[in-house]
Amino acid sequence: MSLLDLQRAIYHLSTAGEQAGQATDPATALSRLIELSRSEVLAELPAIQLQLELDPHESELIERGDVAGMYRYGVHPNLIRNFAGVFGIDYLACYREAGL
Amino acid sequence: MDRVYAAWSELRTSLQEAEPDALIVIGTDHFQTFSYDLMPVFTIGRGAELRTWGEFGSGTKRLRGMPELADALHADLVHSGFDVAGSADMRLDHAYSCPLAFLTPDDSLPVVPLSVVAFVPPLPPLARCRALGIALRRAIERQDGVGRVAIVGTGGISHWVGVPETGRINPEFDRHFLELFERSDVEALDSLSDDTLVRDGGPGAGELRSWLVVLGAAGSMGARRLAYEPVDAWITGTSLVEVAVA
Repeated sequence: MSLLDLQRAIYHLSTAGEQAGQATDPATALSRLIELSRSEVLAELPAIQLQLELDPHESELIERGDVAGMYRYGVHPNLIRNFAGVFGIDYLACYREAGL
Repeated sequence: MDRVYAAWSELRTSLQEAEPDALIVIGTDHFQTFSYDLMPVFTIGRGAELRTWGEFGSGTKRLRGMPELADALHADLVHSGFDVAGSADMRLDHAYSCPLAFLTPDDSLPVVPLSVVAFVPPLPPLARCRALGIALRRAIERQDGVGRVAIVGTGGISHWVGVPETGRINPEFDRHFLELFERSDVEALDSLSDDTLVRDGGPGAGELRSWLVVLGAAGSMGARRLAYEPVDAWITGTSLVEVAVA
């Protein structure tokens, strides 16, 4: 439940390679990422454990692809750019629409 | 754009004629390889194979690394007082793959990447980056495993990305920076603050740190501008410069 965890989630969603490519919508991709982060298999591999704690607002920002909301929340712009690129979101248009 | 492509061609020819045995590429990762989980200020890629991310549809590649050179440089830099991290599997984003596509389209040269953090604070001051370049030059000269080494710095100039000002280019800032760089006005370059870079050149101008590393390595003897164009298609003030080597 923090800007840091939100940004970590966005980073992993944007760089997951095939996983990100298969999921065409952020909500499905986030669901898969959360599932993976709670995987018992990963629990056996401490070097690559991924622990994410997102509150409902943070989860919603990702699930809705709300890049304007992410920007206002303080997510690093480069993370937003990468996320938008992976999920085909015109972030500039979204910013304009949100009055940014 | 024609002038930019012509400049790339000229640089490629110059590189070929220099006949280097390896190419060090100084660049900035864009939250592809590094994240808030781990983001060293300086990182050298030590792998024998370097995968590219292939973002923006550029396609993934596997480039040849040069572990023996990377390891020698890494050790020398650390012993010289630069706490450079080493990565055995450092994937390369467009900061590296795009210039390399122009300079070595046949991937004929082994590459040693050196990453410099440029937009996730705390950022290394430009003077520190130039000092890194000086130390890098000494490290290259002290190692005896590789003969001729070329160095490329990539990034900038002005660009705004991921922010509401995306698409903006500032030719005035770009030309001012280029003038300072061409005459190697190190005092003025070293004193460029992050506030000035971001305000006038956009967050993307932080990548100019790579230029300062190259300038330091070359001996701050000046540079020759091959081209400058504000390229709207790339939303970037784009320049190619060949640095004089002392």
